[in-house]
Amino acid sequence: MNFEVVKAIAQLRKPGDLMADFSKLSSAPDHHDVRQQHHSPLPPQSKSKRIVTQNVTSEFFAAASALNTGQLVKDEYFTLFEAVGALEIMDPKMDSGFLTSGESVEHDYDVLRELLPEEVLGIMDQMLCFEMTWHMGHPLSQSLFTSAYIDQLLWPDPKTLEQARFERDKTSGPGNKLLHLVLRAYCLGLVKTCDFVRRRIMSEHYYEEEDFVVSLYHRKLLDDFELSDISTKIEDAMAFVTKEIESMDRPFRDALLNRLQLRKTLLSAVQSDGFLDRQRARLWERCLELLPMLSQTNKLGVPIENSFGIKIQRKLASSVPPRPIVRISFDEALSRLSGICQNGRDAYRILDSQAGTRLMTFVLTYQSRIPQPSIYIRCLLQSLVFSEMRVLGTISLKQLLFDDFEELVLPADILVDPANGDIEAPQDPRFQISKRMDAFVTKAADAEGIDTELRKYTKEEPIRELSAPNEEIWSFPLSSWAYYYKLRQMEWIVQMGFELDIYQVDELAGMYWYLDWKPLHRPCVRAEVAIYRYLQHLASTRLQHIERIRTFSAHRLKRIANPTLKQKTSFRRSFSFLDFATLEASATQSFAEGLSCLFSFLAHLGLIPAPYHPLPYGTPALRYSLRVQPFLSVSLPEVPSYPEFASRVSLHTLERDAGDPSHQTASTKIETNDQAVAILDFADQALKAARKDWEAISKTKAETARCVGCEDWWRASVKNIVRACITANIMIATSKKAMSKAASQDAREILKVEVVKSNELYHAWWMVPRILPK
Amino acid sequence: MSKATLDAPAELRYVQYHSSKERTYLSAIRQLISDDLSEPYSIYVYRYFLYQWGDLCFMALDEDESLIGVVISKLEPHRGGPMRGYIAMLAVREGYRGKGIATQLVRKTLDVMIERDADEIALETEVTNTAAMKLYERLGFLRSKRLHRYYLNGNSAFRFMLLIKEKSAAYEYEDEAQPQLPIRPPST
Ligand SMILES: CC(C)(COP(=O)(O)OP(=O)(O)OC[C@H]1O[C@@H](n2cnc3c(N)ncnc32)[C@H](O)[C@@H]1OP(=O)(O)O)[C@@H](O)C(=O)NCCC(=O)NCCS
Repeated sequence: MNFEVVKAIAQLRKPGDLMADFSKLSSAPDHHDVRQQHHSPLPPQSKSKRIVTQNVTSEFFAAASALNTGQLVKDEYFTLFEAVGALEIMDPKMDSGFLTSGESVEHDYDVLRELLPEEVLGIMDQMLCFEMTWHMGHPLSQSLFTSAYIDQLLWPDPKTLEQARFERDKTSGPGNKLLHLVLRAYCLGLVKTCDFVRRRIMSEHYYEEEDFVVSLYHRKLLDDFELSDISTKIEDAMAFVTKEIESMDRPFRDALLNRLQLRKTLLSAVQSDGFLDRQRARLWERCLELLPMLSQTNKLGVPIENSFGIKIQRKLASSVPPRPIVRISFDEALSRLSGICQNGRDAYRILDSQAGTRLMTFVLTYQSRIPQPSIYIRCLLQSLVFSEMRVLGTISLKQLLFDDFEELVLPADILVDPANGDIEAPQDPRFQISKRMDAFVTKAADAEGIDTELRKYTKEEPIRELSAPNEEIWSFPLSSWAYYYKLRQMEWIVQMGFELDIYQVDELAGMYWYLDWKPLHRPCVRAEVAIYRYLQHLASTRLQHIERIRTFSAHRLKRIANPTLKQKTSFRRSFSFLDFATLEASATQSFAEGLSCLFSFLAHLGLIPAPYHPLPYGTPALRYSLRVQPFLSVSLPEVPSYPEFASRVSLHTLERDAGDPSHQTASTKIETNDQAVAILDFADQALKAARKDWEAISKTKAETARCVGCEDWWRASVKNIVRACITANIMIATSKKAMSKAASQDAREILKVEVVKSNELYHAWWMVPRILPK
Repeated sequence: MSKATLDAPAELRYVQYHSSKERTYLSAIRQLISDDLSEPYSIYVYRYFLYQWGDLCFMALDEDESLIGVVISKLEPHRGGPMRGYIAMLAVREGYRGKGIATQLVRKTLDVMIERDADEIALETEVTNTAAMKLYERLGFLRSKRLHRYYLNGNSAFRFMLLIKEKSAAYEYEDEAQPQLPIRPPST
């Protein structure tokens, strides 16, 4: 059910992987019959003289009979990967050529039959559904390519646009204009749109198979033909429909025109040329405006189910066994399309974000919206961020990085002076600076080494502390910059684990409390992996680091006798960033600490489920190793060792022994509850601080919060964190109230805890449990 | 131990697989497992496991010797690194679920893996398979990754891991293998 390689089946179904079932032949009771059947006919003789065929059936059976049942024939390079790719011939689920008796090979559908307007509408809307399932990540072979119409247009490969028609061999065959003019134009537009979409996705980073299947099965998506020619076809079709007053009722005409217009607009919106133009947003908006009518007129259409067929898969150059057609409802397709259009429009707002820190906020905020933007849209955003060596179409990478260095660590510093690059005299320090900065920017070369070298050109004055006047402390600006982002990323990785439901509840606190079945609590502190505790650790490391950066910038500013307006502005901008980063890191730290303590409290009193005790396999230390494994190869910040970690965690548990419960002295309920309430007080303090910080963040001006261009989404997200924080504070109050009334009672009799699923939380990164009085 | 485990029907026998049992049980094993699969595995996949790691396969049989549950696993060095056990297939017949049978089967295969010096044990399960996730979590497994659209039906999976031994620092594999830039806090 769960092979690492299950996916590989798709690639591996090739003849070389076929494995005969030897045992069935050699030991099944009826194997004589099987042999009989294979004996008689002469092998077909090839016409070519070079190839001589020979019937090897009897040799094969003789060889097979030498094997024992269940014996495996494989060389050492034959892996599970390949084993899963093996298939059994004549098993209808695995053998794509298998026909039941009387079944024909070809899909039975006459693409040249005349179509009624309602049928054309029906087919168009079905195609739209399949286009969307393709966007969702299903292969064309299970979606659009199952259409007999698309098949007919694209195969054999048309050499000219004129050849891409339904009557492939005849010049004029049966069928009517609705078919040959209208449906064809629609299909051409659709296929060409897919071509642009696919090319955009393939030009960017994405996960093949998981996110998107690029495979075309040796077909082409009209990639040799011009968009303008296809647009003209659509326009011709529209002109035809407009004039068909006699033969078609108004609603049908309008519905057809609506779909053709959508095709035409969508095609222009996705085309590659000029995609950096802000005006593209207008085209996406225009598509959006067409959707309500599309939705209202869907009921006019009559879908033609048998114009799609799974057998068409057999004509595709693929080694995959037959796979079911993937269907979605029209409403779902429409909501997907509407999402694509909205997100396409909104993506262009990124062009307003300019500076590095804002760009980062935009990308993070945009990409993490729910529902997640589709793969095409994510790739479009990537292209807008960076393509043809330019950021947002205008900024060079070097400019972007220099701007970021300046904002974070080097306000008004000579290191980021763009004029350095113009100096050609090697004896000029600025020439040397420029050379080293380029090395850092282009190769991410050793930051510390470069920082050390640069000192002599910048004449940096180290800081000396009064307590240790002989000790020189240097700013290390590039290393500081890199370390800042490294910490930031580590926090994101931890937080992303919440979004992906990776953590189990008992891991959140950093420990849990084992409760015996017996009425008396027998506490056993078991320090587990503390996710929130680790997050708190990272955020507080970042806070210290920001302080260090600030100290050096302030030190440098003091040494500038008469700062110019430009210098002042640069410093002001940097300090504003550092202030905001401090606020945000401190907010993260407090919230993480508060939740860690809250979960400790709940675990302490047995209010959240604990795994088996004793854990039949594994130990807390091993679980910890596994959890921090992604960070083990990161040398700094160092991952705390398990004992260090366990001791930190037990700070809030008032120094209890971690070990087997049988070695513990039994404590009374009152004692346990008192300790739990003490932890609750820590949680209370931290969460109050967190609330204050997050509320301050939510009131920050867009310019300061670096969220220009995405202010609305960013504020919505922060608002959700504030809500989560307020909820956490309420949960604390509830718990305190209940505990104060029941000093000596079993907490489980007075409080009830529900762990909220990640998709039901205010914010996926902040897992606030629901605590209710009983 | 949980209620389910305590309730496990006493009359069941847990039997280690051996190639001499192929003719009696293989088709039943295949049947039991493929009942829960949209796409069947060829006979070769079963042989792949059973021939090489028959001792890691356990069957639950009732008093009539009919197959109630099965677990199929393998154990080999993972990318040249640690000895990794892998639970490939697990199934219990419908009317018999929730009685701790799968837990017993998994424990048996784990015990053999540990005896044979496994460093770690891995498996995947669909993110919606509550019963399987609960079972593995109770045994001490942790979720280590979410595998996006892992199955052919488009569903995602969780990779579950259980460490048996502390990882040796020498093992550098999977995504962690990329060289780390020495990004450090500036020395003071
Ligand atoms: C997964 C499977 C093997 C479990 O077999 P089983 O014998 O029922 O398992 P166990 O009784 O040992 O343990 C299952 C646990 O999950 C719980 N469980 C079962 N269904 C559940 C559900 N829908 N929600 C929550 N818990 C559930 C059981 O109560 C039991 O927990 P408990 O002991 O605390 O009561 C069985 O359901 C099965 O064959 N499923 C189909 C195949 C499959 O999914 N294989 C696993 C692939 S990794």
